[in-house]
Amino acid sequence: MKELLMLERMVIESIAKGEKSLKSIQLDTGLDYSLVLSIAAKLLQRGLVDYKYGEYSVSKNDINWQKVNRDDSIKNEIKEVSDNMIDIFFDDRSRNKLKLQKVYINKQDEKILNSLLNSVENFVNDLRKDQKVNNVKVQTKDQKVLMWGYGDYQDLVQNTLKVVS
Amino acid sequence: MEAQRDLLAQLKKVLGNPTYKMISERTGIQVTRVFRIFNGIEMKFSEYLTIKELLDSEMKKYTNFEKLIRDCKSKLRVSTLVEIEKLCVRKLEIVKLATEVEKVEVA
Repeated sequence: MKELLMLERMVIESIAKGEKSLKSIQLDTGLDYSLVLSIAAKLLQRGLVDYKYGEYSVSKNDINWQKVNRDDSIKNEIKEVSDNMIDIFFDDRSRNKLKLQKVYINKQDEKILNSLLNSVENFVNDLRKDQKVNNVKVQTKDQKVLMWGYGDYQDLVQNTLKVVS
Repeated sequence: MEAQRDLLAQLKKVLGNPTYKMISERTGIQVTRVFRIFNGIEMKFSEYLTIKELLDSEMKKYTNFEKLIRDCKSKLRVSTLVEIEKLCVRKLEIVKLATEVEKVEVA
């Protein structure tokens, strides 16, 4: 498989953050030690991480990364995230948030919406910057996963009809 | 004993080499007992029926799934089939990682 699973992406993010040993990756991701071992072995085999003197690091091999960062690979990764986001929302509505709205938006209001969404994005980027500047140690598993966006209802429906030849 | 061997072989095939833990969870039979059964100890009649019930329910799903796959193949366009295939591959990859976990734990 050329694309990454969410599990694999999480381990890579942890390694990229500076967790180098299996034990520290395990603590950072909250995954079982043996699962981390299994994922790390797979990533090593695919040339996405390197292993030297008991420490893992993210591979700098661009060719290997190009394969997993292609649009169709990323699309499937995002689908996995959104599927699971929907599942966990319906499993526990008090801890997870999910909103879906349908509304007509004129050109003027669309500009306002875009501006608000930009503000959300800036807010998230600022959080990340602040954490970096203040050297706040955040465990990968403790992060929130956010997703936002919109599409035309008609386009969404037309897309579902693509199953018909 | 032959009936028991056949039943267990079928179950392994249908569930795709399940772990003892998985069978225990699905049947309510203790893991150590499942281990013993798979290693040749004669099972009780009630255990045979429980495992047979699990096998039957899995076989039923499998039969429906086979039919569904046939319908998909004949009715959906290729790009949609590729999409479903990719989803299945991703799910199987997770199973593979989990299975490798079992192997690591045993070692």
